[in-house]
Amino acid sequence: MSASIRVLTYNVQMRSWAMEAGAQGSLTPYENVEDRAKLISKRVLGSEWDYDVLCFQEVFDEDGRDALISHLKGKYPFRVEKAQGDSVSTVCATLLGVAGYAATIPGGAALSIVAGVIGLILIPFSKFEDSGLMIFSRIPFDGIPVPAELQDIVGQDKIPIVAFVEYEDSVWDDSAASKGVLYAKLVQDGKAFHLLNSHTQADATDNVEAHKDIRRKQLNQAFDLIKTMTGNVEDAEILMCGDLNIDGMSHPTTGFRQEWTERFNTPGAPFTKVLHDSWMHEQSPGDVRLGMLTLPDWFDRGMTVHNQRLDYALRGRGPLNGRRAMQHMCIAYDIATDATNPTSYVSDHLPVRIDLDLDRPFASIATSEQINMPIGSGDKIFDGFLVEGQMHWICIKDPGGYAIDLTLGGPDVRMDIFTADNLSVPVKPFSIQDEGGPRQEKMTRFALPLAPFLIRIAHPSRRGERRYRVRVHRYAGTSRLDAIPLQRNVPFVAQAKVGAPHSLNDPSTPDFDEMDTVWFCAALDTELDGSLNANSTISINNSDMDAFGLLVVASKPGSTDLALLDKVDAGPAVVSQVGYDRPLNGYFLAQRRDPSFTAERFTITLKSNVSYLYGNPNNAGSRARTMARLFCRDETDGFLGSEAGSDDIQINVSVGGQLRVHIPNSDELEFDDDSFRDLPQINMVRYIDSAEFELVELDDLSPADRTSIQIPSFDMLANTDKVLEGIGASLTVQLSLVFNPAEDDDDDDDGVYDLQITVSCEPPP
Amino acid sequence: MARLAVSDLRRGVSILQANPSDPPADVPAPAGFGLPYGLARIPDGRLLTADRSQSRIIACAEDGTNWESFGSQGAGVGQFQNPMGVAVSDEGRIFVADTGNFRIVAMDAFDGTGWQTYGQKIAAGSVGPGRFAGPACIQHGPGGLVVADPAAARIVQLAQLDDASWDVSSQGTFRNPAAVAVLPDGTIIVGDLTREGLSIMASPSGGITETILGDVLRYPAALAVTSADSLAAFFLPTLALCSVVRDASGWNVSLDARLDQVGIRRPTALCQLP
Repeated sequence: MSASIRVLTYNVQMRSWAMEAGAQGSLTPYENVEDRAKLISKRVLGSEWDYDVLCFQEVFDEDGRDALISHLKGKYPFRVEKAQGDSVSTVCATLLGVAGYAATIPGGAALSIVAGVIGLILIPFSKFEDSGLMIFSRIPFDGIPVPAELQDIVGQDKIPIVAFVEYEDSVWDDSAASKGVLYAKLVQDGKAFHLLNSHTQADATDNVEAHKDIRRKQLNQAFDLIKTMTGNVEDAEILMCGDLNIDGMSHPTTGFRQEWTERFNTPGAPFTKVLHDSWMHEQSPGDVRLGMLTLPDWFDRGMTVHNQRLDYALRGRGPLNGRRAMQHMCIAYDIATDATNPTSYVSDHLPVRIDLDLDRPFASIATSEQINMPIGSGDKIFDGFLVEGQMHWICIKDPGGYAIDLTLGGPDVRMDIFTADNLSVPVKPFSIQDEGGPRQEKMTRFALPLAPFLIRIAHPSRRGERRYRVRVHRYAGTSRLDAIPLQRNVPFVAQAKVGAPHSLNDPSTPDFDEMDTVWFCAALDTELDGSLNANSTISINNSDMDAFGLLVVASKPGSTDLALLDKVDAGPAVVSQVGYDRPLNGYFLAQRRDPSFTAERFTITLKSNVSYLYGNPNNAGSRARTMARLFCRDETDGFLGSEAGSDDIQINVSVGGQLRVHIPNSDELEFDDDSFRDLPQINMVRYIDSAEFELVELDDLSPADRTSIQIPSFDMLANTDKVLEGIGASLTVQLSLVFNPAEDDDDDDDGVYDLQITVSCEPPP
Repeated sequence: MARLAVSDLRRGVSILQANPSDPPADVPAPAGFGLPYGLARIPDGRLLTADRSQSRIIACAEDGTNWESFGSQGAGVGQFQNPMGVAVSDEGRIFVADTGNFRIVAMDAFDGTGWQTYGQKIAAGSVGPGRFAGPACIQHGPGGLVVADPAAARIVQLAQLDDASWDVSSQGTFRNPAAVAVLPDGTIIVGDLTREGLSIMASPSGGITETILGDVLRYPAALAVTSADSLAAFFLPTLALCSVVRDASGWNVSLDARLDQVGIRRPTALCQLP
């Protein structure tokens, strides 16, 4: 049987109608909990990642709960459908874990076992809401045998080992909910797997860390429960997941927050010494050291909500005693989005996939197979077998242009490339267009100028064994077919062969002489209608003897033949600018003027005046790093200061006065304070200089019902504090829009929104 | 506790039991009822509610008999646009908060006889008498009709449906007043969905004279007068159904039930029954 366990942890934002009405200040609140529950269920059941365990937080709405149960119960027969309690629940945990079994709990609490459903906890409560926690599992819960004489009374031969502890401290709206930690002991292959699901005290988005002392006490309670239920914390296999409301992002200028450091990076602290934050400590691509406060710029910060990483997996340190390895932890875009209906919003949090399997060589990012691939090292072939959910990770340490293909494996095996700044969305190929030229076999070209990068080979299915073969070829630039793909904005340090010509002249290209050149390529992209005056700048910085000049060539109209566009002789600074009004396959030839063939190194940089907005990472034609999202920090005031109702938002994106994207208002674009909406409709927008992003508030009677910003070009945004994540050619940026900065009764701006979107200088694949 | 009817966006109209923690009895309704907002009783004893989604008003007996609807979508005579409130005067005149048409409709009888409208859309520079941004809850009392206009953040009292009798709360008194009740002595009680507790006033222009606070009170969403000195109320997000009673010591609040625990998860209005 497979040792693979795949867990989804997801704050599904299923607040009840009354909670929404209270929060939105309206008896006609926008709420679609049941629809979202159906969507989430459909995506879970349809996902190729075949989840074993689902840990949901914030399921307060009973109709949403019923919908989740109704749709998911077929696949997940073992469930904790509702957990709520007060101090009685501690007794519950003690009885289950220590005293043996409990059919009823003192104080009137009862452990109910309902036809086929194991682990429904119903305890009288003093809170207005339950914990919002649910567990769905297809891995059985461990149970404590019920004596034969009691089985008729209990109706079951085993009492499932589940427990719930309500946190003693909570404030603010959280005190109305029975927030706590839910425990279930799963058994797979005869071995215990201790699962915990928690949702801790929240902070206001504008006052992060305000309640960190409360969360510290809550996590101490959770740790006490872990000790009680596992007995030996050091050796047990434990996964505690959930929305812990502790910001675990390393912020570009300020690093980690103090609270994260105190909880998860302080020697001796329980969640540092015994358990640890898996995202930060098990996703390391190799050169992130524990204890560093400032991570390299390119490290994936793992944002799961607005500017924060709140959703966690906490695990025992190290794969000891058969403990599983963290194969991969990532944002589960298979659940957050739906390729067939990408506009359907499901939650303000992003779901997190936790993929565990037996520890084997190269099973995780942290233990990936480390490979050096200098130019001329020849192709690397990776052959192997994957069994039932296993992964194999390869870490390539040399930046460059590569062809990477899965040449054997079939549809059950998938191969994806990740850069270290985004461990959730695979790198899109350099091009999915026909690049022309003769080819003997299909090769998928990738521009990977920032190393290390990672290759993941996975067998998502838990059925059978699959053989795979991955071929990795590094382009050397010896010919058109061997051209090195260039990524814009990233200076690329290249080298030519020493002691002999790097390439030979090709008689089939009479327009130019490509003797002893290093070939590079890039798609020169512009609007098909010629409405953008696109141009590219190619520069060579000679570090060896000013020996390299530049030829710029491109495909002729209607042909794959090449024509010379520009030629710049060698010198200290070699710069070529080419303009174009139709998309071209461009080739840049660094030509050595050194008869002794001794000059070796130079740096080539491609820049373009065209920028791109991308919004949907699931689209094959998009380079979105994350889903574009709009966040409402403060909804607009209505007449005479009223905040009744929601903002009905409509979105327009224009370039040069031409409307490129129009997103009409719908129920999905109703905003209240602190609400999020996805904007996958912004698939791709090309622009030069700036693009206008406009919000229109439709139902407000106030005249201040429009606001817009000019989104600057990629060059203007890079290296500013607008960049949230990313490095290289695609960045996640955050830009603010304010409807009415001048008039406000609260000393705050009125109607404040944040747009998070990918701005790139790379054209679509 | 007084007998109460409650409107719910899923269940329609239900009758709460004497012990409101017991399961309520649903008023049978034809398929496609819609979304009931506002509750009152018309002189023939039937319950009256506004069907917001189908822009009409509905009357029926507690057992679901004598079901009748009036109105259609539009802005003309006999038409409503997403109405959200109903009220009935002691004389039996029916008032409808015609929310989407920014007006109040008055009728002498359920069949629309004596149709009268008052009000129009508020606009920049035109916020004075007769202007509404979305009248929602309405109640009739000794001083006339009291209108909660949450989208304009104000309460209005109209002795008659004319500009001359327009009495409005001053700007800043409320932010989102969504519920009103009027005691027989004319005391106006207001629930604001963005402020905890209940506000007491003698008249809108007189301002708030007293505030009722209590542990179970969060955002009051609906009110119903149950006697000369008491009312029922429910609150968001807890859906706590409470009795609010005035005596010599002042106002006292007690928790009677949790509406969601008896299956009322999307309540919009309350009304006392005989």
